[in-house]
Amino acid sequence: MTAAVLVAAYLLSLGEQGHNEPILGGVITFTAVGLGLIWISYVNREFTGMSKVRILGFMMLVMAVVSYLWPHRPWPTAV
Amino acid sequence: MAARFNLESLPSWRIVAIHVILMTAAILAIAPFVYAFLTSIKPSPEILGAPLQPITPNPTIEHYITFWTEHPFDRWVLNSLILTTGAVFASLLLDSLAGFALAKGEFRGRYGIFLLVIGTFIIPPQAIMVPLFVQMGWIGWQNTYWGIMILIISAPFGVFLMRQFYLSISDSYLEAARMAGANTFQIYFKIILPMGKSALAALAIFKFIFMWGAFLWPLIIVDSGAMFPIPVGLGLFEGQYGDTPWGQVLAASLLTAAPVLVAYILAQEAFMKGIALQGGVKG
Repeated sequence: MTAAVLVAAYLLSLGEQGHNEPILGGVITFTAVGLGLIWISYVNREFTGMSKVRILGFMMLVMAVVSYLWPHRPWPTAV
Repeated sequence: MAARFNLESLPSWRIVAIHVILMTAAILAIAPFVYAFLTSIKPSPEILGAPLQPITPNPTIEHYITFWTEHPFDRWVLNSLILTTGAVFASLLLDSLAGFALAKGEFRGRYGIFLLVIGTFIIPPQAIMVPLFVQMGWIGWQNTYWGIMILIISAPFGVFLMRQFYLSISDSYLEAARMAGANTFQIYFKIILPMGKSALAALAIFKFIFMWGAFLWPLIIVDSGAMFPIPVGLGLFEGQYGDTPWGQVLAASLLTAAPVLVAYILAQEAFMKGIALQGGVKG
């Protein structure tokens, strides 16, 4: 129980990223949403449109990778 | 059932009048977007120099390129995508669960909890922003994605919408599932959730629009340019120069509005069904 709370607290502390850092908050968000959608698409296989939900889920996992590998570039001086 | 409205049965002058009114409304709605686009492709000297000349002879995309390269617009777009994805998914899950419990659950205090939920409608979000900001500081969520999302996720509108929708679903579906041996979570995931697709689509669009366009709360809770969603970046962009570069402002505004338009077009049919709150067979 304590370990679960510590893990949750650690994950929630990853919601802030600075300039050109891997966006771990985005990785967590997109991974959670992607896995959730894929799970729902398999649980409700008999309903129409679930293949689209599954594709959306995999797109979210791709977005998680994109967040982690977000392109670094010279940060504009205006902001 | 009310008789269907038949346009052909009307006199021709009324049909013409209806079309004139609708076309005027459509032009009034679309005109600002067209003007913004045409202005965003004008060279800078022409924007204020010839504001009444709608179409420039020298179109350019310099404002789009300049805004993208001189500001972290790509990062702001990704921030908005993260916030919108997380807020929409969490809202759909939590609001549909709460709506299911309040519509079909049998427990003491159900109506009282529902009254509390709809009672929060009368409290404007601006009124709770300062205490919420302090709370976010206590749990270390200032300047985080979670701190921004929480205000949109916790809005009571979704619970109310889903409850009203689930009330229209017959109890006989649930009773049949119980007789087949399904437990409450199986009923929720295998029956209630798929039947509420249209309401969920409507709620998703609403939450998408709320989160994508959120300005005040993210402005308060976030103080780093790397964490800005698009509206905050745009708002501060306008304020930091004495001479506002209107071409860049309009270019960025159009790029910001595009995803909302695409999302609405993609989910238009389900959105209209969800608004109409059409459920299953009445019990």
